[in-house]
Amino acid sequence: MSDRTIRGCRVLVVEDEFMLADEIQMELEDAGALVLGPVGALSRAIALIEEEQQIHGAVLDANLGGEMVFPVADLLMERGVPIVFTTGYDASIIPSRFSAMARCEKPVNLRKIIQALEQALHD
Amino acid sequence: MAGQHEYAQRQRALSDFGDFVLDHDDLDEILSEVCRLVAEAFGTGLATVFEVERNTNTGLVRAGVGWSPGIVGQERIDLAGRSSEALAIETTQPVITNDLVNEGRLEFPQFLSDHRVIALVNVPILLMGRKPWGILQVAAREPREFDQTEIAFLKTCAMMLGRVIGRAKAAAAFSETDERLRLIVNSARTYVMVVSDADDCITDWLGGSEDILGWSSSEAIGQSVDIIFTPEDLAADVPLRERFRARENGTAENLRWHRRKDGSRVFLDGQTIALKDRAGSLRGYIKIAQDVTERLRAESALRESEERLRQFGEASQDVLWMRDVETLQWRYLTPAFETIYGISRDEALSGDSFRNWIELIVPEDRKHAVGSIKRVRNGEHVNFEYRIQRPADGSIRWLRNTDFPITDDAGEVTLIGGVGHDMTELREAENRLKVLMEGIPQLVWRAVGEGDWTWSGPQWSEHTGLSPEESTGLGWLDAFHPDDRDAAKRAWKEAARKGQFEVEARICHAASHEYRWFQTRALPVRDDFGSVIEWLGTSTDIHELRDMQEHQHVLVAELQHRTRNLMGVVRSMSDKTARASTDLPDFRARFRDRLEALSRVQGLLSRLNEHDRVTFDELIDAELAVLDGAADRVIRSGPNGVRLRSSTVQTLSLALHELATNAVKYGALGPLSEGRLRITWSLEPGDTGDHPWLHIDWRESGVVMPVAGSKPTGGGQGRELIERALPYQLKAKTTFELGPDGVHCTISLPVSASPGLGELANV
Repeated sequence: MSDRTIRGCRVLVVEDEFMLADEIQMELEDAGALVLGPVGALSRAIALIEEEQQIHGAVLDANLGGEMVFPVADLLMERGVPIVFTTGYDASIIPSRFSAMARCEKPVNLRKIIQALEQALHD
Repeated sequence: MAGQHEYAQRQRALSDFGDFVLDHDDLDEILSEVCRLVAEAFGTGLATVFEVERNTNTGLVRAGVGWSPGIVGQERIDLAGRSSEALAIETTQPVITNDLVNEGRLEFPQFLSDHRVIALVNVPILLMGRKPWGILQVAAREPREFDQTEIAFLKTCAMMLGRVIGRAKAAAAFSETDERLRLIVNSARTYVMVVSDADDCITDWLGGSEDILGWSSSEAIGQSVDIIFTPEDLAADVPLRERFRARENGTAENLRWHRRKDGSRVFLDGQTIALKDRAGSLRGYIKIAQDVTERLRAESALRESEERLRQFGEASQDVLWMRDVETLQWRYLTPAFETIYGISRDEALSGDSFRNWIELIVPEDRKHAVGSIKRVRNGEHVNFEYRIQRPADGSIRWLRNTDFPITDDAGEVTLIGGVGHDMTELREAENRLKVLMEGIPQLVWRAVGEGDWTWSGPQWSEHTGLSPEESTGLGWLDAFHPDDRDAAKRAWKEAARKGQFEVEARICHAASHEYRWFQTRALPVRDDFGSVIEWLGTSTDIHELRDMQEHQHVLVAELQHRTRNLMGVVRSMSDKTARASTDLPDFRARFRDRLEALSRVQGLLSRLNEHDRVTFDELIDAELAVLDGAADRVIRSGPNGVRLRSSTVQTLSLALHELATNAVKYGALGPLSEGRLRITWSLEPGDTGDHPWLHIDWRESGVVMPVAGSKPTGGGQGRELIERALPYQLKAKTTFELGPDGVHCTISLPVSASPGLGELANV
């Protein structure tokens, strides 16, 4: 992890749209990361976080089939896990307590997600 | 002979005295002379005249001879006692005393003793009617007898004195009267007093004649009285006729313009009186008159002023009236009455005009109107409103009256004045406005200052349950949501500066106990100088508008979300299609086909309203419809109307599309295939009971399957969708297997609860 990449990092992906989740997963894996998930529902994301001891970063879709992802983000923030939000809405939908977190608007540029993760992980 | 000599001497004395009296008119000189003559005639050297003073009952020594200085003009004798003088006055007879020393009956004044008088005679001096004026006294220093001739001489002297004194008194009295009259006449400066003789020639020019008419006394006297008449009156023989009437009746009225010396006019009010002597023959005339020009002018000015006021009254569109304060009857009523009340003034004034008026007033307003008039009677100014009904057409007019007491100089109320204004049009306009204000759906109110409500309409009370009384002042705040009250108060603080009040706040709906959003606004009503008189405000229910706005926000956000997701899906689809394509034309065909499938499902979704759902049969029919010519090899069976969750429609339809595409390309629906496709579905209650589950069975048959291990016959993407995407995204349970004569695929997924679930399950 000293080479400023996400190689070997354990990255949680929460995205309800299968195709997007699949795409992110492939991109992260291509970049050498280990993907946790992806999961498309709030309850499964929470369960996954509780199971996993090591999470280095997370890519969270703000809206999971009508449910907001913020409870998941709160849990991650408690553990000091950097987050990249992806959202189809204005960035303003994300509460101010997450203002330090990166955010990417959909349709996401997958390179940007990875860059944001790299930056968050090495700051 | 001695007697004859004395007689002759006394005759001469009487004759001298007669001459003296004729030549003198000073009484004191005459009295002194008589004393001298008498003393000489009697040879005693002592004589006195006393004058009685009634108020002190004393006798003053008015004249005398032979006495020491200090007696004449100063000495007084008492007439109350028993003196010889008192006796003479009392009896009006001569009293003779021959010897004082031996006279026992009477007393004598001291000054006689002091002059050693021994004998005396007191003869009373009598005026007309034997009224005593005084005493003529002869005194002697030696005893002596007084004979009858001497007494007769003294009485003659006293009688002459009496006549002289009487005449002098009358003359004095006349001169006094004359003087008084002169003073009276000349101080009557405000009167013209002109005396003329029988020939109309002015003889006296008295009183204020000179001041009023201009001619001095010397200029006027001797002229004809005609000089004071105007040329017109002279031409009309007015002076002649006036004098004629005075002669006939004693006096003639004299009320006309006269002429002054300078030619100007003066209005005189008086009389001309004929002066006649006792025999009744004409001696002349006296004209006595007052200058009333100023009074006449004042009266004329007053008449003009009254006339002007009358014209005001006649022209006024308001009714002006005056009533007698006691009887309340109309004394004056202007023509506007007829326009407003619709009856003639004659009719209104006939009989009991107060009762006539009361009967025109509508019954409900009579008590108030009569009460108001009674208050005016007690000195109040009163404004009151009432309605009348016109007898002619039965129409109602609204009147506003201003009535007031009219007082005389002493401050007593004598009349009631009134101004009646017809405000019917104003009332009707007010009513229309009221109907409008109470009819609009907004809550309407009025306020002053910083939100100090003065009035609120029925809509407000109906909505909030607060009465107008409860809402006045800041009472309205109670209806506002506690969290919005500060905002409302702040808005009022800024209202004056901004020139308007505006706040969005929740107001409690009393019936439902729910707070609803209202936009509350007010604009100021200003006077001519721009100062705010009051605020007119409305509160408009914007609850639904706000709900809709919020809903719209949600919808726009959702649309953004879906669009962006869709873009992601399209991109992912293009990536995957690209990986599976052999060349660009292949990619184009595949990609277009998938985009069209995506478009169809978007088309289905976009037709929907919020609560509508795409049904499974619609979805499958849309997909099969594009299978040109192959549809007759498809058997579909299952209930119609199974409602799919909107979030599942897109992925499910893409999966079905991939299955159908593969069936056409490689499976049962291929152009060279003899195979068949059977799609059956059913709806069953879910395990947890909250959502029903749709079970789909896709079975192809009669397909010649490729040899195992050869190149996969496409379908990689469809399989991935079914085996991974549907479980991931739709919580679906799926199977996919390549059987010996075709594909067999099952998909079970939760769907929306349907109203007719039980019914559908039995199909």
